[in-house]
Amino acid sequence: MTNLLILLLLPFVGAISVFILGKLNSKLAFWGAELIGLTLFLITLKLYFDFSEPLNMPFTWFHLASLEIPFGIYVDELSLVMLLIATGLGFLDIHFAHDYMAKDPFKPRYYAKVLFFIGGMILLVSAKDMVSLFTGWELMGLASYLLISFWHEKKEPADAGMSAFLFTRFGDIFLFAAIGMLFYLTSSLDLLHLNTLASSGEIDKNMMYLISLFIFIAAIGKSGQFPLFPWLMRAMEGPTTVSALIHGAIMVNSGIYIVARLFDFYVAAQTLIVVAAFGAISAFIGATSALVQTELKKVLAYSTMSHLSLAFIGLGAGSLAAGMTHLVNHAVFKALLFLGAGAVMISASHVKNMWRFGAYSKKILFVSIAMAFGALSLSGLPPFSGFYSKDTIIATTLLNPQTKGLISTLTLIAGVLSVAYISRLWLLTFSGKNRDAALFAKVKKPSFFWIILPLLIMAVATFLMGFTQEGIAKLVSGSDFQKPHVEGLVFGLLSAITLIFIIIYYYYVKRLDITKKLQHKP
Amino acid sequence: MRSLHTVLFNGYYIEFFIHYFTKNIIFNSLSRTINWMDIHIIDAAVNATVNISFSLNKLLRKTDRGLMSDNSGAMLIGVVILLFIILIEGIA
Repeated sequence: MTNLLILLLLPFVGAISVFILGKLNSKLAFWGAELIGLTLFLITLKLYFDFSEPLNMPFTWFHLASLEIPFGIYVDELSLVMLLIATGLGFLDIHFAHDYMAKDPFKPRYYAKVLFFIGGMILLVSAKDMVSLFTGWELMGLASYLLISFWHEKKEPADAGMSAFLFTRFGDIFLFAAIGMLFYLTSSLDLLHLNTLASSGEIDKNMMYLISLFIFIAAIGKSGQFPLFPWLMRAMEGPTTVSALIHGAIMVNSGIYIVARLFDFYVAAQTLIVVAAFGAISAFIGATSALVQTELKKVLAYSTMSHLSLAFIGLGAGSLAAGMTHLVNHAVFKALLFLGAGAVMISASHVKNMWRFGAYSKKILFVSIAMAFGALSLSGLPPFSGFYSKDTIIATTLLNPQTKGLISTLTLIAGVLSVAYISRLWLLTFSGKNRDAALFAKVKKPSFFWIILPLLIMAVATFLMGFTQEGIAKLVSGSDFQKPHVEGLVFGLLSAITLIFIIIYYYYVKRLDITKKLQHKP
Repeated sequence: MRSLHTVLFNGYYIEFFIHYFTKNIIFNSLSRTINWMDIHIIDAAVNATVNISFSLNKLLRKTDRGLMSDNSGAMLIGVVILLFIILIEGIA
């Protein structure tokens, strides 16, 4: 219990301390944040290894006449996995920022906001009831606004921060309304209790349908799904380390987490098909848009939208394990790809346009290898982690009569197209000939300890996670998981991946002259 | 091909549609209508009440002679009216 309390409070106390210490000496801000990040991860690891049964801390915030407003904490296997992602990737992100933010004069403010952000996520995934969940949800929303608009003296980041704030707040209004309705109908805000009430049919079906849709609107706002995704692309104006946190490790996962946490509620409300339908549309939009982007980070941003949609589709098709396993895998390989993009940008004088890169593996070999691991996992190639979850999601949609048809087709297209855009990104950046000799001459090797090491750790993690997928599926779903099987699916997928890679290789390496004519002229 | 490329590049113009909807439907149509109602109905009703009170005040001021007996008489009439209202409400 003490460890859990430290885990909940340390990020917020740390944020204030880091900010004050950083004012005395900016190096102290980094070291303070690094130490706190590491401590948070170690505490989470200890909680994970000591775990035998869920940690339950019911707490009443205040009484108002007969009303009792709770603020409880509950940590089970699902929360622990999310905590491991948030603190583990959060720590690596802070470590990476040592070099990425080295020249920034406002480092104390940056590290304070990052810790505040991580604190919001920890509270969210440890929430026992809707009140503590909503508090974590809003704290994280505020932190994302502050981080995206970190360079607020420039117009674009300031606008991007405002855009993120408005889009996510739009969804939050619905979440707030849903909480109010739930409290009115059930007098309970406990997440597990709500699931039980819904499963036993004690809540009116129509109201359940409406409430679950309201919560889903909030989820699509936070997770950048159709139609509330434009903020996710604009969020690229923030530091790349922030993009890695928002797009990979922390923020966008919260929308999926809330649906997963209320999974039984969604099953009883019969709204999973809506989740799957919106997921399929988002997956298709994200995958097709990622195919033509010219900026490194924009490709990854659309890819985030598409892959989170796959997780939503997994949940929508009725498989908690498939959706959440993909979420976990995605968190790791997307954080790796974003930080890899950051490493490329550090090396290439902060240029983002991939058409100015080429043959960078000659200069930054380790970054190219690490990003190749991330790309292979994202493509869904065995034995990388993405293979298992992507294959499971597609198989689930094909086996579920409700999702078989248009939803499964869109899922399949989005899943296969991910190979196209990520191989395009990798080939344009690291292989072929360099297309900007002046820039190429200036490319410098990033620091091994601060930049490459976190990338390699994540690359190894995404590879090894491919061998522990059943364990992860069991952890996140709380029961044994049997992977669904569709005859010929794996062979079909692998053939499609190979074919698409050959086409992309031909058009982006061999015949770049044809492809270049088609590229967007800003 | 180039048009398709541009549509994909701009994320199917979803952001454009959202801005269009927010600006033209919410701000220019809905918000303007509500604003018109606020100014021409709600504010107008409040202003009318103020104007009526002001006119009545002006009218009554003409009858004011500054004598104590007049003021106490007016007060007494007011108290009687109030008691009458309370009595009627009590019976009802």
